[in-house]
Amino acid sequence: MRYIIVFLLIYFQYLHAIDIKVQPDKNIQVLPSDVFAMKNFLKKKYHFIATNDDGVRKLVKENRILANEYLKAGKLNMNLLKVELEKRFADAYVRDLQKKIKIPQKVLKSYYYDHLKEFKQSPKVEIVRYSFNTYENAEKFYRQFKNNKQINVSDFNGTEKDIGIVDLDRVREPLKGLAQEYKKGYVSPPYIWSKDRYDVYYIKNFIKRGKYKKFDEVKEDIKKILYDRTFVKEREKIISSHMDKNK
Amino acid sequence: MKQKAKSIYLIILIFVAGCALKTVQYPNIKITDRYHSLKEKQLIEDFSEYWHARISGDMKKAFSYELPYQRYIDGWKVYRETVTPLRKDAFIELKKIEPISENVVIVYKVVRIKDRNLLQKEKWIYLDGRWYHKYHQNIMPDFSGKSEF
Repeated sequence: MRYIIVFLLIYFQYLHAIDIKVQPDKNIQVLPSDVFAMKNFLKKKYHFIATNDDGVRKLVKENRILANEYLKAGKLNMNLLKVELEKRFADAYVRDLQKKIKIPQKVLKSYYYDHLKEFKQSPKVEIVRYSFNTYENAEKFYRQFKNNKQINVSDFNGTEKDIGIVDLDRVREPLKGLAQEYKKGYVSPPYIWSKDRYDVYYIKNFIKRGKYKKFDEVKEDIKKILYDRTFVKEREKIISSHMDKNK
Repeated sequence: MKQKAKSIYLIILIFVAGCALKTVQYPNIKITDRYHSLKEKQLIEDFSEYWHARISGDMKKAFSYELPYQRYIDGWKVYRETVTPLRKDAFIELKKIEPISENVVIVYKVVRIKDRNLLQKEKWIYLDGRWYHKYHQNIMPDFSGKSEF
């Protein structure tokens, strides 16, 4: 009897699942709406603002080609895709409804004061970048520049760019970690970017961690944290109200 | 004339001092530390009210003193299940108030139950004219068969 019930439950669940049809694309082309969607995706997922439309179009096209090959090879597990998509839609629906809930200012402020340490401003660094075409020049410059900041980069066929003052949090590893450790005056060994680009970084100035960020600056971040923390509760609420409606 | 002004000044001083000393008093709560501002006086009052509510089992009142974001996340149901009232014979003594920032303090207190003394610290946060307590949930059930302490 138990098995029959379980079978019926799975069967009814299957009947109510979303209907998806995925087929290989015969004519691979990228529409402007695809580029727009990819830009949104990159921004949301990686906080990356893509400005080069051609680059984004290329990325979409490449993904499409590879995805089609995957489909043609018969690798797609439709049931897995179905449950994955359903989970994504369900989560998106809950998050969408959550955003409509107005969180009182007092709730946000109390979180802010309780986690004040997490809202300290990032240290700042002033960075100068020296670029070279060959590794030999970059290394020679690095060795001499470490001891003598007066040397001229043009003597090593290199260029200089003052990047200015930036938040240390925005600096990529490993430079971020090294700057934090060695602080002002640190000169990085040459970084290999490509076969004809080698960069040496100089931390001209290191400004220590500043004051606390103001409440208004972090209000939206706190909202996101609280939405995450109440996600399960909110999901249960929505589900139970849905069940009540369908009784 | 000078004498009269002096006595009026003295009366006002006594009156103001009397007002300043007046805080809520409960037999099972003792305040050892002195307050140095109206904000701290308010803290002592809120502290007394909160712990009196916890001892007398008025958990609804205690809940209203908890940090707004904790109340928002957990809600009354979870709070009621994870935070328990104290024993009726518990005695709380506020030992010291340590400011952390403009609106945050750490309060050192001693909880006395029978002959056991426990030194504890807790965080209080000042928001819109009153103080809120930060609570910690009981992760493990009390195996001793007694109350929270």
